[in-house]
Amino acid sequence: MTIMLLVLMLGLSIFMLVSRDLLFGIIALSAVSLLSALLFYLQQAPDVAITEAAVGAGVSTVVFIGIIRYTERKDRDP
Amino acid sequence: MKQKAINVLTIISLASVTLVLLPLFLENSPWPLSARNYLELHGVGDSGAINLVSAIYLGFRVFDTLGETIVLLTAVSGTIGVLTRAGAVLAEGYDTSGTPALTEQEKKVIMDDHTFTLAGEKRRSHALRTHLLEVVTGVLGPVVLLFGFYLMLYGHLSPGGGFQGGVVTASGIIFLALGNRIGAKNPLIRASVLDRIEAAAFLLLILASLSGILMGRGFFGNPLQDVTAIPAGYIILLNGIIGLKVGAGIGFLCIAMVGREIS
Amino acid sequence: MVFEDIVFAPILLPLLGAALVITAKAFLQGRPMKILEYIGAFVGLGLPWLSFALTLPAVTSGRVFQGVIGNWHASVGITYQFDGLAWLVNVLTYSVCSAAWLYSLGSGPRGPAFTSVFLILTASLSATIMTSDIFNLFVCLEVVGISSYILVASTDKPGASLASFTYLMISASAMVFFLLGVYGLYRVTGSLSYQGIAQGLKALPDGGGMTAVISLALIISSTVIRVAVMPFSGWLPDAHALAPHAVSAVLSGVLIKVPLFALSRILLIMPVGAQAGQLLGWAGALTALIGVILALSQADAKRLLAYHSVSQIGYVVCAWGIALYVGITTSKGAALMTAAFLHAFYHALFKGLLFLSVGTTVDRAGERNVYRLRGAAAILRSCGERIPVTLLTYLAGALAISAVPPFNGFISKNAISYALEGTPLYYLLFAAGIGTVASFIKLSRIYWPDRSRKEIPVPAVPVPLTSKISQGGLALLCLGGGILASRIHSLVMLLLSGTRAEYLIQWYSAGALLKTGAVIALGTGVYLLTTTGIIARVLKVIREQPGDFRGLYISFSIGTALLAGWMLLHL
Repeated sequence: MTIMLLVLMLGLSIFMLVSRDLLFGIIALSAVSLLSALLFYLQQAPDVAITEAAVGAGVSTVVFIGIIRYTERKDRDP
Repeated sequence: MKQKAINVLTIISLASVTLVLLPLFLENSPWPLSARNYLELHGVGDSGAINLVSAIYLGFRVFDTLGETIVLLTAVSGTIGVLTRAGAVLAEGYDTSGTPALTEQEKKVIMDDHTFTLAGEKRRSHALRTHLLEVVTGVLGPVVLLFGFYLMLYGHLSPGGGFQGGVVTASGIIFLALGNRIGAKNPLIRASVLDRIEAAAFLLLILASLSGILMGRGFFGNPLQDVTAIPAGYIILLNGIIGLKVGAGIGFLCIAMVGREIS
Repeated sequence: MVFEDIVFAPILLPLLGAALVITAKAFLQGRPMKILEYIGAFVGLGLPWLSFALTLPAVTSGRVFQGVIGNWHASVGITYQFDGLAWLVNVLTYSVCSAAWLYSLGSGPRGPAFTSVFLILTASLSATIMTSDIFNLFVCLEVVGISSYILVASTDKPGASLASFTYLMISASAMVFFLLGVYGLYRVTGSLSYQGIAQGLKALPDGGGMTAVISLALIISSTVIRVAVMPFSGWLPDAHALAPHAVSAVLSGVLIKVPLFALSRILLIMPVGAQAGQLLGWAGALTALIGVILALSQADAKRLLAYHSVSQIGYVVCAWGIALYVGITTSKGAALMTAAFLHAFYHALFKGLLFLSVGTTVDRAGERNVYRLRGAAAILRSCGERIPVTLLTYLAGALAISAVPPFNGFISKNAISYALEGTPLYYLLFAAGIGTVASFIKLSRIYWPDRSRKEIPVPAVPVPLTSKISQGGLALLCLGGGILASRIHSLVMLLLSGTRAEYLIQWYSAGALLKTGAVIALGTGVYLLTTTGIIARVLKVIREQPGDFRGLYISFSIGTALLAGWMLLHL
């Protein structure tokens, strides 16, 4: 279970780094936070799990979406 | 040529960092037990909290918690400050050497779409808005707030605590802001109210840290340790203060980023 | 309430002041808000001086205030240690911060938002030097970092936000490595306090092995990136040059020195700390020379001063590193550490003074390019300065940094050279001194009369009184440091190592004065050389190399790897 979660997190992180559409990247970041919250719960650390879920999947996503609303949604061509 | 050199150097630096970090993760000596044994035997008795995580970050290492709270406070106030200034500067279209000044058309686009305004000002919305958002988040908002307060105040008995409760409270405030029906006046999502809660909570936190000195227990000592039968009262107080502060701060930041009235 | 609690005053009072200022901003408006803000600033920056006066007798008699914050058990709580080093670094911090805040009242960023973050920065700097727990050091460095990012970005000038963002990115990434180092040390010893870690490492059969050494290397390199020795100094010129003037003074004066002295607490008790000190000493000497060559090629006045900060911190790191290498208990080590602190303190004073006075000048003249700006003395006079305070304070700072007697730079640079006599490092530092004189002659050109008689349109904004007071205060401190040299030197040596010098250093001996004369003459020669065609073209090429964001990360990684490799070699 742990290994599967870690592999999934790795895949989502790579997707977030290479994605050109920043909104997809932000959702991937939120998914990585949610998966790591699940991982913390499996490792029997509920306080850290609550914090990670609330901050990573909640507040941090809201702030990032606010950011791309004020700037640009797509990565510029290098 | 230069690009290729930088790419090669990037690969070398990544490889060197991996090589440096590898022995750290391959360490297989037995885990040290001194701190763990002390906490198991004396953690609950010394601080009065059954949740040992709360005992650690509000009892033994409360100074670090104060530091992190200050980081959050500074980050929120600094972010709002930088963004308001950047919005105003962008709107004026200042002319740095090399970039041409913005045309009137471009300035108008920046003013309408990119200018950062604090909560309380109406902004145009580009998307369709249904009643689904209002119904779901507007009704769930108070429930999430209640859950946040529960986490804050029961942090010393079950998993939870000041930070956790505070962030969940902030999510509740975001729900209230998103689900706000037009015309409804909810004081909890006004920027001025959240500002005042945060400032008062920070002042109370510093005064609570000084109270230990006045009671002879040293800086951040638990003043209720010898006086009453519930030394955990101090932890509940600190949890409440930190929860209010974190909730108000993060709520303020998110409301400012999202914009309150999306009519 | 016991007397020992007074050592927390430098941390608590600025935090209380910041809380008062934040409350003022949220609840009040207009005049009451300003009054509460000034009260908060006085509580935060003025009252701690009282605590320094009260603790001075105790620390000079060798007493060390130690304990655990909150009176918990030492194996789980946060230990602190307030001794002579903490007292001295606190005095450094508060003197520069008070002067810079006074300056910002007149010309810099104003308002409760700025004051509150400034007070939080001061509190966290005091906490960094006083802590004796490695995770607490992490938290304190984070607070220092975040308040300095906000302060650098708190201006409307173009480029400041990008400089702050670059600084933020590289610092935050370095803190991840710091955390990994803390994890490594906890993994093998089970304790987070310096004493606990040292005892735990001694108790292990192989002294912690590779893990302990690599963790220590990670911690050292993440802290040293804030000190900005080469190769870690890429972020400094942008951040220091584009920040507001008061903030530049605090950044150059205090923020690049406090992490260094906090690091010395760790390295004094860890196994391979001495070898790390040796490598850092050599890096410091090379930084001093390369920094001054880069400074000589700059066109922007504040970037020139920022590169000079890199060069002067190279002096400090060189003396500090060699002090750790030979051991602070030997007489040479004590002399070197004293010289390192003296140069750090005096550099804070005269670099702060230079940033403030040059800042006033370029604000009034509206031009920052050293090649184009001329006649600043006349411009300042037309802004209402009948006694040329800014010009005189600038001269004090420039003479101090060029090591001209009787200013304090002369004393500290000679202390370092005296202690390093006979080693190749001495010659590197001598060459750096020549370059310093040359580049300050170049900077002083902005004050010379304008020969082309071109009319630069100037708004005749008068120079505020608080700017004059803070600049004048710093200049007097520079002069005082030079005149009261022996007394200050022996006090510092007593506080740092508990010993007195075996011999009295002759500051104004014939040899020292001849050396100063030689440096000034050679410096003038180098300056005249740079005005010739070929050298000017070379400097232009150096100046126009574009910076690369990835370069910061590459230099950090390779520097860390080299440091770890060097320390593993000496295991």
